[in-house]
Amino acid sequence: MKRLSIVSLVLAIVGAGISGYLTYVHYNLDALVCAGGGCEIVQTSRYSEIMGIPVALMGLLMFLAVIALIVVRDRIEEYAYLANAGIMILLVSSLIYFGYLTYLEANVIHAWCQWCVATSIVAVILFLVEAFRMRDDFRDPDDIPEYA
Amino acid sequence: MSQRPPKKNRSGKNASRKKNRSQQPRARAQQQATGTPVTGSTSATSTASTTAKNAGSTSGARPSDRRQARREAAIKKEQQKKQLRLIIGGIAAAVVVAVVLILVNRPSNDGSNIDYGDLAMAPPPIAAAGATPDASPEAGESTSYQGAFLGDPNAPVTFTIYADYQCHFCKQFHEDSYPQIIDDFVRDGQVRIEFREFPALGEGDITSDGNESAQAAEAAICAGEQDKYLEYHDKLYANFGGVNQGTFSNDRLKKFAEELGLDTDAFNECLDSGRYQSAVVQSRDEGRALGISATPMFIIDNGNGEPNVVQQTSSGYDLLRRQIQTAVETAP
Repeated sequence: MKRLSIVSLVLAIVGAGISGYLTYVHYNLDALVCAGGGCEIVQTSRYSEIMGIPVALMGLLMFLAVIALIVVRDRIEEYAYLANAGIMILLVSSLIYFGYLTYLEANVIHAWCQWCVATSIVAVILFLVEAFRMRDDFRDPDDIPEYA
Repeated sequence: MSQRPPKKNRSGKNASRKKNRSQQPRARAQQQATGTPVTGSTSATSTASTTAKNAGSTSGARPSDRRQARREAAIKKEQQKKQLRLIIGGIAAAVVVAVVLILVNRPSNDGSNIDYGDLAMAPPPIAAAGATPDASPEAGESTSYQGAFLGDPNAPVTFTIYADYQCHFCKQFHEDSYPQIIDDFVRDGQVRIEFREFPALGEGDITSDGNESAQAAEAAICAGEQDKYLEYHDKLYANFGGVNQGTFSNDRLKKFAEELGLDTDAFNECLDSGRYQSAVVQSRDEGRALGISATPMFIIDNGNGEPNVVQQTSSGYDLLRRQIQTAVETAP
């Protein structure tokens, strides 16, 4: 596995770990470890769920899907481009939603959950690493010499 | 200069993998020639590019290698287009999904989604009496604070809620248990809910303008003057924003009234006058005397002379439902 893919994999595992913890504490608030009490407010706010599904669980599923796609990309060469596209789609959509959640924390809930912010930061770094890694995919093939 | 030995592969497998890769362009070229569709892959196309470059840079490259390199470049271009289309299309779809999720979960300015239907509502009597000096508890006849009511006045059980609008467990109760109590007990006339103020978390003196808990409670009673206590009450919870964060500053409280379509002049005058400060203090002090020590806490009274003071527990609605059910079943 290439170095950047390993970095992506590690970041996705970290993201899945934090999201998994947040999913667990969503149902077991007593297990929440948080400095300042903001996590509790965020975790019990109405924005912590979408149609009854915890947002943290969605984050966990997203990171797990990214992990699976990174593995697929490394193991099954013919599906690599599909896996790449899948990873970017997941990351872009989740970044939009993470941005929205951060906006809610700052302007609506008025409380900060460090774990949620950490997850957003991991997602942003993961996106940047993947974008950097993918630049090779879109290198102009015209730099290949033409022949008579 | 001594010649370095070739770098040893970490796993020992790379050599064979590289060998396999070097064979791929030829296989792809063959596939292309026979019209077989070629599935794209990043590393394969990189290899193609490398092959092409090698073919170009080597002055002695054979014409067949050059043709192969051109084919590989064309394949790579096609794959790039395919991958780009896939990513752009997918991201567009993902953006739509993300926007839909945001719309579903957007902040509501209209308060809660509780359907009060045709349930009987009554503002706090002090507010219903109008903003006259006589309506204040000091000057009035009533010696006991009464809050707003929801439900049948003849219901056998009264469920009194003592809450602070800045308390997030109160908000949690408001979102989780409260609508269920309405559905399970209030709609069929078994329970009537009374809302009492218990400002506990605000900073500073309870009568100061900077005490957001007390100001929010006063604002709700002011809205009661216009028969909008419950709407305002729901809006306060919908705009919950932590404790003492300025969420319930006077300016914001006035803005909520405006958003609810209240007569803002009357509401602002009411809030600025502080005429319900003493009512809020009275509500809190009476609650304390009855054993209210935290928020949210409730008094379930079925008229048997022994009101049950209960607290919201981590078990959520289930325990509360059983306690209310018992009160309903044992009502005299």
